[in-house]
Amino acid sequence: MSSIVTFGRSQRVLWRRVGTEVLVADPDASGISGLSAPASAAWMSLERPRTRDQLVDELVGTFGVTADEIAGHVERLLDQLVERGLVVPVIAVE
Amino acid sequence: MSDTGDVATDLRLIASAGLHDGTIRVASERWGRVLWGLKSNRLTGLAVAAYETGQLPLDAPQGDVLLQHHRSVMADALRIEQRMLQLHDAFATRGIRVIVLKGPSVAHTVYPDPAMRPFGDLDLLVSTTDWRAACRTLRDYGFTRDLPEPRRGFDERFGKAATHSDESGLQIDLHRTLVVGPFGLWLDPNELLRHTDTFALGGRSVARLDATGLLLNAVLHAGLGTSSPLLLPLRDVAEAARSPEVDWDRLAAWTKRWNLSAAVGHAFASTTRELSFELPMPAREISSVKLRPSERRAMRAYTDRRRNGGVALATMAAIPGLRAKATYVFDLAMPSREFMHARAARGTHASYVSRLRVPAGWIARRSRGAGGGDRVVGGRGGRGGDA
Repeated sequence: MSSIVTFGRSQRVLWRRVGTEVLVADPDASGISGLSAPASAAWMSLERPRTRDQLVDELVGTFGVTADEIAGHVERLLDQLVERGLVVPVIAVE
Repeated sequence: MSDTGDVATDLRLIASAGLHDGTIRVASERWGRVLWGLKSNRLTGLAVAAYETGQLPLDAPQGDVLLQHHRSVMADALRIEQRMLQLHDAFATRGIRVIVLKGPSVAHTVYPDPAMRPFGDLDLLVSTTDWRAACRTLRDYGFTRDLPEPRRGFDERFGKAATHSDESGLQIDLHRTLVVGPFGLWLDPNELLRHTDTFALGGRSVARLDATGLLLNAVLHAGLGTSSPLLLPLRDVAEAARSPEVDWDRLAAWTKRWNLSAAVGHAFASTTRELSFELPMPAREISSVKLRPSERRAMRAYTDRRRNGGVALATMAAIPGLRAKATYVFDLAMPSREFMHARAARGTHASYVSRLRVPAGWIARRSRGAGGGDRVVGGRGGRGGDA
């Protein structure tokens, strides 16, 4: 058996896209924050759950960089988004 | 290409962006006034959508300023949704069923993107039986009612809604019916409350009117909310009317049974005219119904007679029974001291004499034979159920 981890938006998060920026809000707190450009792009790409590699591929196209250049950044970005409760990892066992 | 000639035309075209093809070109010398109009009419979301698709070509600085304004508007919308969900949980804990009207419910259900539909306040509908408990809940969660009811029991008998505000300035209109005045009295909110749906937001399932009720609410708000229909409410009508879930037979039945033909027809006609939007055939059929005289009179109260106590007088005419009519007039003419103090504190001229002038004027006008019960004489109060 192997497992696949996909990442998706938390359904709890309130958000709006304004241009290339995504604003997010926690319904159980006050305050609004704007995601950085890479985080906003990642958020928009996560309309459907994606694996880390799929997200890297998406963002390569968006930012015009190579997968090698961006892979480490995406890893850290996902960690931060998960830590903030904005993105949730889903583990599927095959 | 659309030929835009003035600010009003620019705003109409932007309000209908996406409903039609064609480039909307705003002359650079008008852009500042158009931007102001977009903000004051809450049309930044539609403008941004048109800008992003290329339907509204703007240079980079213009686009940046538009996005900057829209960001502020969207941050406000998110703050309102935060507060709404906190209240949603509070109402649920207390067993009070609350339906979200307009703003968030249309933004998240009938628009392709909720960012297209800004809102600046919150409208909640509760059943009359839950009215007092809902008011208490708002108070417990930091909201103060802007004006007390004129007299005890007025809300449940004649009122449409009461505005509550919190420290941040957020306003909630707590409704027990959809509109002020005769149309609000004629329709049956309990039946609307039997036809509801939900939308997902913030991990909750939030109650709203179903597609048919939502369209009716959009129509009544657009047609009766102001003397002349505003562009964003008209866009709501267009978006809601496009929903395949609308039960047109039920809408036609409600319109007929609740004497709403004039109001519905007015809103549909305004949507078609202002947005150049062709409504579905069933909407046009509903609009073609012959109006009853009582509906025509009621409609005039919301439009050309609105500023002269017209809604209050039309409300009185719609209240069944002489005793109830007398109670309504007495409550408005001789409200409680608490109500009068609250009006004075808001800087509104408030005296019993001035309030009595309104019904006295009605009677004087009628005794002069100047036009029956639907005619209106000037006076101060007279916002009908809003008191």
